[in-house]
Amino acid sequence: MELNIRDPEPGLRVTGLRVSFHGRPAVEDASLDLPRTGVTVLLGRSGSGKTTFLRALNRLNECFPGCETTGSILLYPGGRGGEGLADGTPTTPCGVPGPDGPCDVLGPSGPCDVLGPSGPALTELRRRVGMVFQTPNVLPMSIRRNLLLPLELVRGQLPDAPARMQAVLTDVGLWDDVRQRLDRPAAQLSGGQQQRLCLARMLILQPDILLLDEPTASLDAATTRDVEHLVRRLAADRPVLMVSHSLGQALRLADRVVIFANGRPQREFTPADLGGDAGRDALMQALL
Amino acid sequence: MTGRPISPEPRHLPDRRIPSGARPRTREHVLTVAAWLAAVLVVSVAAVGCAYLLWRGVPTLGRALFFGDTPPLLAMAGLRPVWDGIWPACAGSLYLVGLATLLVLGPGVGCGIYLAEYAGPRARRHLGLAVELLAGVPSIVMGLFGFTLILVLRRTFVPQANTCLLLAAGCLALLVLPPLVVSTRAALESLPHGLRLTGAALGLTREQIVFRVLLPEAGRGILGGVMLAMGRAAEDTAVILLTGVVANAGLPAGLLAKFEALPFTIYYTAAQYQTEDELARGFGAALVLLALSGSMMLGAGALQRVMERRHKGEDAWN
Repeated sequence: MELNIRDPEPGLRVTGLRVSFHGRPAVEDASLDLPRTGVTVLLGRSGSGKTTFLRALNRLNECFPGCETTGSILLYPGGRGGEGLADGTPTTPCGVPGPDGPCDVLGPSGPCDVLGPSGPALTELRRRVGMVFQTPNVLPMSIRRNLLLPLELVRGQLPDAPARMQAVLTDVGLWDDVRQRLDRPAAQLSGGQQQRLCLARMLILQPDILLLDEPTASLDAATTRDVEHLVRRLAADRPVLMVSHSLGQALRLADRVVIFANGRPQREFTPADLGGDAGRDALMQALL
Repeated sequence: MTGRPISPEPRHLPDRRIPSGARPRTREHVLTVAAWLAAVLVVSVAAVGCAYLLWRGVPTLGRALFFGDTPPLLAMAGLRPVWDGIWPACAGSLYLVGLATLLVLGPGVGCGIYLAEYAGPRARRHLGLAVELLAGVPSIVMGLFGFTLILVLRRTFVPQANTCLLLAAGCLALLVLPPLVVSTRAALESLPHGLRLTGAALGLTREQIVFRVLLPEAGRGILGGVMLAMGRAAEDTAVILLTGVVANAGLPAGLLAKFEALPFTIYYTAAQYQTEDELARGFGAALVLLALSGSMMLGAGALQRVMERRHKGEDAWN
């Protein structure tokens, strides 16, 4: 149950990460490996730095003023479908800044401006590290454009874009609901449907890693269960890092539960640890 | 069974209970009535103004008001001059508003986008102050600026320079620049920060977020600013008075030619009319100016609806 931050074949490796806003640290000395597949659930009290940690992985914190990020985040290629070699050697150079081999998300010279010279590389990083937020945040346009516009802007004009759209909508269980109203505003969908649309919008960009920030926080029980099934399926061939406040959800979903406190991962639990009362008591103790 | 003890009123807190008297309620009533009266006043003034204009202007509407004795087709084609009709003024106003809008659209919207999305706090403060200062310049001063510019040009590089349609449109564009900048900036800044974050999380560049996500969403506010600018450009007299408008120029012969405009025709008629017929023509011209501004607003509104439908989806307006 002690934190075992190192994985022999990581999909993502975080070492000594520190994120501060206007000099005040939100994440400090955080180190963690994400395995190549499976769901890692981050549990912790509000304000412990979980969301900041998540946003550091796709450098979204840099959209906020006064943010400073140091440390190392290595993104290992080949997470999905044999697109790279098993030992982490990239088969093709990837656009994310960093030396060959695993790409250093923060770049060799530390974090850079979102719009700085490494803009396109940042674009590629965020495509590869997909993120879904706590509240559904559909773009104020039609359902079809919600999916096709990011795809077009990030990956260019693709002849099979409509087929991809149908595939991801089917994947998230939304195709039958929206096939007749693809050109209607996405904001007309229910909260659960909007969140599934957000998942589909992320999936159409074919990310290697999924970051989910309490994706079921605003959903009802039935939709939560659907999304959880979907997350389990998606985690079969890529790492999923998910923030949750629900102990039950962590028990249902997680291949690994990491307790986050004081701006860093502190302890971890596996499903085997949590099978008995002692493990659950230890988890509760760690959370309190 | 004993009930829960009632805790005594804390002594250190001020007594916030509403007194049993009717004062707060009366005050609320007074405020409500005042708000209603203010709304009724605005509508009444607009209604009375329009009704009076319609009463005086409608009887004059007709071919003669626009073209006088000249055959309309020949007048519209510019083959025959119109001496006692307002057609050249209508055409001049349309040219003027169109040209001023063309000149102000890029810098106005561009400056608004820069202020809202790209400028740092310092640039925002300084540029914002400059825009506010420009907004405070009276239109007659803007006209004087244009007139002085021509004088300087005549004495230096372009001796043949003269007041003209282009100069008037340029000065008008400067006059209507601040409201367009402010409305563009406000429309963008009022969008939720989450939209920018969503775009960034999807891997869009800042330009893509601004131009493909934020600007279409802010379109309604920006178009409102454009309409305001067009309306102001259509009605302003002081600027054009010193920069190229004349009472009788016919249809504008080009960008560097003198021109007529409806607001100046109305002003000139009101100040110089000799007969009741001339005054009635002035009212007719005022009514036409009102209709022109109204149709520009309606056109802009329709355009905005089409844009919004295309951007947001088919049922955005249902």
